[in-house]
Amino acid sequence: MDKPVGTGCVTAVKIVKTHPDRRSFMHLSSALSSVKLTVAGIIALAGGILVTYKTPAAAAAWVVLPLCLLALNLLFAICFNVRFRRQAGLMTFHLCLLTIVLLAAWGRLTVFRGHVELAQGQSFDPSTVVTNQRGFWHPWKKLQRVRFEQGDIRVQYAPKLRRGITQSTVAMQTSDGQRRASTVGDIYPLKAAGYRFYTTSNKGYALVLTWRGDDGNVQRGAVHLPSFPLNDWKQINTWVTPAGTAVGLEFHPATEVPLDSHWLLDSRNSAGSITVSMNDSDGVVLETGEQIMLPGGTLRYEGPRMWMGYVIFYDPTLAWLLAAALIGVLAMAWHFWTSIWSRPLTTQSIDSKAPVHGIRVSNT
Amino acid sequence: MAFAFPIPEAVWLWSGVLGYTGSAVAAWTGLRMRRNHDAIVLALLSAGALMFAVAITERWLQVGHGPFLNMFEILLSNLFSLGLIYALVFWRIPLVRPGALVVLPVLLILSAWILVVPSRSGLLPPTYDTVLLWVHVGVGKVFLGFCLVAVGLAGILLVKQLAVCRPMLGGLPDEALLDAVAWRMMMLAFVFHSLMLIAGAVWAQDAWGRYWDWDPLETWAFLTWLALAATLHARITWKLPLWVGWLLIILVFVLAFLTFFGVPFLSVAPHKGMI
Repeated sequence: MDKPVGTGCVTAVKIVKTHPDRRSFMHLSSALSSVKLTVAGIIALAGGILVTYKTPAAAAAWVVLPLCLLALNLLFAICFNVRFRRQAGLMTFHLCLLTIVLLAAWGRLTVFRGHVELAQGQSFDPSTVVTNQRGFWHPWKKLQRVRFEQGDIRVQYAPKLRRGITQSTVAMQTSDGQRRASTVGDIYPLKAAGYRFYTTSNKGYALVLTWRGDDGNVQRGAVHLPSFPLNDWKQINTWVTPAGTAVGLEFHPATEVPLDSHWLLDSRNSAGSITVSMNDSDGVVLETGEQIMLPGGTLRYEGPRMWMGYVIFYDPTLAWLLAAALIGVLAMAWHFWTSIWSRPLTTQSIDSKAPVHGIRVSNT
Repeated sequence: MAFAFPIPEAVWLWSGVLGYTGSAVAAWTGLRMRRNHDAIVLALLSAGALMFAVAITERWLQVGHGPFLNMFEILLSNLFSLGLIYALVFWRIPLVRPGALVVLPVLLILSAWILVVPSRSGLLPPTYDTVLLWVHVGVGKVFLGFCLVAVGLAGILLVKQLAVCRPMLGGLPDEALLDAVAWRMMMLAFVFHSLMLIAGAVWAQDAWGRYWDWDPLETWAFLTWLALAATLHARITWKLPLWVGWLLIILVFVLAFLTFFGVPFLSVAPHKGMI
């Protein structure tokens, strides 16, 4: 007698038929989340970094494309890798890595880098900022909110003109209208409206001049001279008067720069005369408070001030980047601890509790 | 300020070098004479590290800043930190002791190098006067220390594969066990390397107005991190033969060595152009 089909000891197996589209997506997600792709991406990224390191002119794509591949790999691994779901530390670490990549990308889109020179007594004017890098989505109007005024400048020097501590005093206006002075410099930037203003080695003298035109128009401003003491041998600049006359200005600091002793470049001690020349003539020396008649008006030398060069940096992701990086490392350490380090080292050949000496002597 | 009876820094330096040399000789003669010289190795290694610590202190009192600036100071501080970390691990984890046969010669290379490097000091830049530098350098040294422990084990296990060395090293603990210890050290190294990059980025942001700028040291440090990450991933992805894993550990250490000592050697200062 024939056995009826489907009876007996045969265990019924439910075969789930997956849609071809779903199957191909699973294949794709499996490939994109694979650790093999991670290794390939890391090698590609390392290669790209080496290419751009050796050839600075190389396209950023050498680094960006592998990074995008790794980010995609991370995303798929986070979504589809079962191991990640079982191990919270591992999942958190990789989530943080993805967050760092995304934050870094966001930072590139909103970044601002620039520089500006400010003379003593001068208020920060965003229109004078020279832009070095500006992200596509940088909120440009934020810089308009920055308000501060440059105060005294002091820079310490060791023998052989080795630059020491830089101190730049700035006066900021608080929200309640009060003026608050603070000293910034070196590793302590001025922070305002999300921007960071870093002092630089670029600083020097500025000549404060008053122009009184024959038409009664009076203007006052400062002409910045090359960085000091780096260019102490050529403290020269050219200025065109409102009447259209180009004059050469050469500054003669009252004190010489000592090369073999400690020294303080202090804006409070700024003093010196200037030589005003036109058309390569010998020029006229002016002390502070003296003036000279020029075509179209009178030029009065009010004295020297100092200017400070600042590098401006804006990146709203900094704090988030730090948080993501620290959480990621802690999660990684937690993962290593729970899944590897806390487990005893044992093999069949070694009793882990027994002392193991450095070199076991072999009798063979 | 200096010691009441100042002893030249070179005396402490040479004492440290002698300590490490003695430690290496003890380890190798122990192998050759088939005796356990672990106690002697540890004592001489610790003494050497102590001598380097005194040399650093003596120099610090003379020049007024820690060992952060030039090649001499980098070598001096690493001779101390690597010796100290290895001595601590050697003492607490007996399984790593066979690696001393590789680790101590590496320390001897650094010792020989420091003896021919000019010891003059420079002025510590104001941007270096921050606790972030201590954190950055400190965790970096811990990273290199754990990496060195791993490379010691990987190196001795590779040497053991040579037929000529097999009889001499036949008494080593189980290969799989030593391999597991080496990889645990690499995982520790990965954690501390990550912390080094983070602390360095925070310091760079404060010091130079950017957290990352691909300067030579940053680039090579990141390449080392990538190599370490790729190595750890490769190990869990493919069933690599043990010897391939050991080679990878050595490769990561070579990269780290180039980063720590090669880049500052070629660039004069640790972060070229940033002082």
